[in-house]
Amino acid sequence: MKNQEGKASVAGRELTALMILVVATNAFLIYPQYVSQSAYEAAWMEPIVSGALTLVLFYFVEWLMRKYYPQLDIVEVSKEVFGRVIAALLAMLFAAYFICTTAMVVREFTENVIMTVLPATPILLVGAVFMGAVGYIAYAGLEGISRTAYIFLPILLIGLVGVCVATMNWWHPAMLLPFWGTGIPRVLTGSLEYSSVFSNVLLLTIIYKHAHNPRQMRRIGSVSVTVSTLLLCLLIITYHMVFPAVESEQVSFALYRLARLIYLGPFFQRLESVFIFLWVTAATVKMAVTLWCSAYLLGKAFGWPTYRPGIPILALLSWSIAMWADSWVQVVDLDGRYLLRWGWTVVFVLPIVVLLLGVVGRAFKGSTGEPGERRRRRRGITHA
Amino acid sequence: MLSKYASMLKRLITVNESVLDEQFTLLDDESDTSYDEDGNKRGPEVIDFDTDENKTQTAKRPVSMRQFIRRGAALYNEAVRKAHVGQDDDLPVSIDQMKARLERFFHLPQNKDVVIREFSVGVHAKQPWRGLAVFVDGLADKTVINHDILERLMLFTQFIDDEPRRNMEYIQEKILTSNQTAMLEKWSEVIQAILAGSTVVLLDGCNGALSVETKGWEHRSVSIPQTESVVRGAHDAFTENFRTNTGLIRSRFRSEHLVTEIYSVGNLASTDVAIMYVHGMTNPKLVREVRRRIEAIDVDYIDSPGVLEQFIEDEPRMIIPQVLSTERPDRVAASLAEGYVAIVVGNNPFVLIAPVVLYSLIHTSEDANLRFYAGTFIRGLRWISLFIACLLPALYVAVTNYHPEMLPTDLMLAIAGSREQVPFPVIVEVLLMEFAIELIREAGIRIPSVIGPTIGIVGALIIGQAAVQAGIVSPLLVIVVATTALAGFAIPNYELSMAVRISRFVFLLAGAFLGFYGVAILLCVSVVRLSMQKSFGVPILSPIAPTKASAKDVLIRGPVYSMNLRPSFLHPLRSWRQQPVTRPWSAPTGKRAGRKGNDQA
Repeated sequence: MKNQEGKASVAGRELTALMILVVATNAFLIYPQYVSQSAYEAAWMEPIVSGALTLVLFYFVEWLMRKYYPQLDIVEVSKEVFGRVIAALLAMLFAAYFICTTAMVVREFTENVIMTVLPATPILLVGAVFMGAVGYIAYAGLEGISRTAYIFLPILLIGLVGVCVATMNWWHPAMLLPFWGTGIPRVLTGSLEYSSVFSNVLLLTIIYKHAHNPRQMRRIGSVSVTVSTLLLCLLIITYHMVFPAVESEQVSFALYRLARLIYLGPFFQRLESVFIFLWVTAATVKMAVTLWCSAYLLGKAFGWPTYRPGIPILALLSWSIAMWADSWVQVVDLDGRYLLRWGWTVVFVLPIVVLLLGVVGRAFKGSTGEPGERRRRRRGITHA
Repeated sequence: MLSKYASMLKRLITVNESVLDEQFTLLDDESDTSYDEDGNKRGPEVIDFDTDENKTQTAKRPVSMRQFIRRGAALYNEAVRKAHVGQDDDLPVSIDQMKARLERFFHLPQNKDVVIREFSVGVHAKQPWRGLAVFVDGLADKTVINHDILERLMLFTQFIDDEPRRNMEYIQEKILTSNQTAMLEKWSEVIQAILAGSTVVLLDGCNGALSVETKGWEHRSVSIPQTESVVRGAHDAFTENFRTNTGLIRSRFRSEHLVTEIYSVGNLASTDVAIMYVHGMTNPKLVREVRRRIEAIDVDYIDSPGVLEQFIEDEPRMIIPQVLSTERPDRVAASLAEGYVAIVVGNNPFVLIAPVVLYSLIHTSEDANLRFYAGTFIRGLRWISLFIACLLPALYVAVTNYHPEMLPTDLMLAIAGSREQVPFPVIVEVLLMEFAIELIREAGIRIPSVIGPTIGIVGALIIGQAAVQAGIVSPLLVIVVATTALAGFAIPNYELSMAVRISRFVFLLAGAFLGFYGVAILLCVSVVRLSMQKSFGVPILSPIAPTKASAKDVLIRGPVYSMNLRPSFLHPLRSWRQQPVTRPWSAPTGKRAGRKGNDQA
């Protein structure tokens, strides 16, 4: 696994799987709870609106990257636009977002594991094992993570669809009415507020140069956003058909509640423990991606020859942040209030602003030659 | 008489420490450099075997790793050089000098294996022309030597020329009827030829030696495979003969493009290593890489493919093998046709195939001979076996310890009832049973064949009956462990089976400590580790991760007539292995041209 990062080249299918896993894993986190609070019976519409918004922005950013910044990532673009110092600050901001995301996810999943299957096990042990595995996977690099994502994607798909279908005998479609829930304005604002779960746009600006064939990026974005939207939507619809909206807004682990209800005869019941394979594999991959992104961005910003030594440190930092909150309620509150609600500014706004400023700046300066030439001139290297 | 009894009495009641000194103790050989029985008397030959590498290092001063490696390399190179002193020289002209050199090289007269037969060429010659026939007793065929070399040279040879060199060429062309002869100029060539079973003929006055192929040592004949048996398919296996093995491969793969490159590995005792590939089809980069890794081996001795593979694997510390070891010529021939490289190592009944992907370790040569439904079915069975062999005990422990609620109530009560008499925790119970199974498995291999059936009876009695009745294990656990063992036996590759045996214990501990959570985490880590592993530049999880276009020959077995392309992860020079439409006369299948994905490879 030594020094793979410099030559990481990932195939389209694996990148698609990676993006689906990163987004769809939110089905196990507090996303269903918050969209339920926001839109009640119409909560299932919010992932659709957010997904559509993401898709439009994805196409736009992909066009910008392809036209103006091929072979560059967001940090390299920032360096070109703002110089090294501001680029480093921006990279630190992105990395901080990823570290906080990792911390929140590890704490939420650790609490979920303790709550559901290991009630007597110390949280530090469960979290340490989790973080160790995540660190190891992130250490493997983007190729390793994306290949793992591709292998585990069928488990996620089968598991999520399975848990929805297996609760069919509890479905009450009438509970999806009234159709517009809390009303169209609340649905739209909720969709925007909680759209940060679709981190495809930010990921695109980081992994664009690692795509085996960048021309496939538009397809990768379309498939990943569509599939993850459908998965989130399916889970929320099922959740609301099984539990009333008023009740669902108070529960932070929708999938577990659904899994507990499964009863397909005396031999297929109480299968929530089986779904731990689903949560753990998906969460591990998601956290590995966020951890890798933070290390990669910091490495790029500060000119580290390799990001790998940063992985254990950042893993430890994430774990420390994760254990900061006193209780599960506090974690859910912090995540919902800050990361989930304002994450869209980092996930969508910031990368687009950076890219647009770069384009505008280039137009004003009348830069000629190939994109990225200034940076390469400064470094004295030439890309093939 | 009195003193004798006094001495006996003294020996009875006192301790004489000099008795201990009479025992032999192996220490450094500081003064004696000869292997004669009376070691301190030097014989006529002075051979310095007291090389520095054999001396115990007495320096205690710590050195850096770089220095340590440099010093070790220097010592090793010096030892190799000393062992081959004089072997790069040309042959002398005098027969006496030749004989003296041979006696020195082969450590005669202590060494009784090497025979130096002196003779005179021609019955009617005016003056006897002295010659030597040198061979290793036991390696060379004596009938060939007697009839085709000595008899012809001693009785039927008459020279018409006085020039020794020309006479030697005359012998090679006209006298000796062996199918392979070669003229040798250097001592190293002579020594290698003799050790390979050839007979070397040396004549007085001629500074060349004639090597005559007389290989004829005893070996097992071609028999049925021991570890890769099939119902439908060939029943021959490799044997302990290098040339028989290469011949078996070539007899199946009759192509003029099949190339066999032979290398000699080992500084102290050389072993033939053959690289076989199909010229114009196998990726040359792969062939070069295999060649490079084999040529880089710088050791005294390599005997078997199991040892050689540890020198050429990408990551020998990995639990999964990175080359495929097989004893079936048909499997090697099929792999060569796909674009793989075969490595034949010495006189050993296993041949290596490189590179390897994880899925091919689950395949057998029988899969291709069956209809694709049956091939897919048994392949699926093996995949399930792999997961059962690896995970079932861990899942049992996890369920009984941490997740009993997922069991149906009746089953949970049954398990609880069966465990009522058992005094141990589940993990101890499982470890005991697994240990017993591993013991039986190992003993079954080592036990003499005449009492082999007994092991089955003993094993069945211990595990099936006595252990349960004694209340050491629960009956359900017997079923779990027996199913796991059976699943382990269903894995066709022995090395993968060994890896699964070891992994099972790791998963077991993970399941015991953290239930499904621990197993899931370990599974994630294992998959990541596997996904990053390469075998000769090919990711071991190809063509699934990374995704590559592939015929239906990975998890399932597709119809042969639709698998048109070779594995793309091998990057062969000829990607199509057959016509796109292979059954044009057939209405239902005639239009079938393989998967669309195949055509994009």
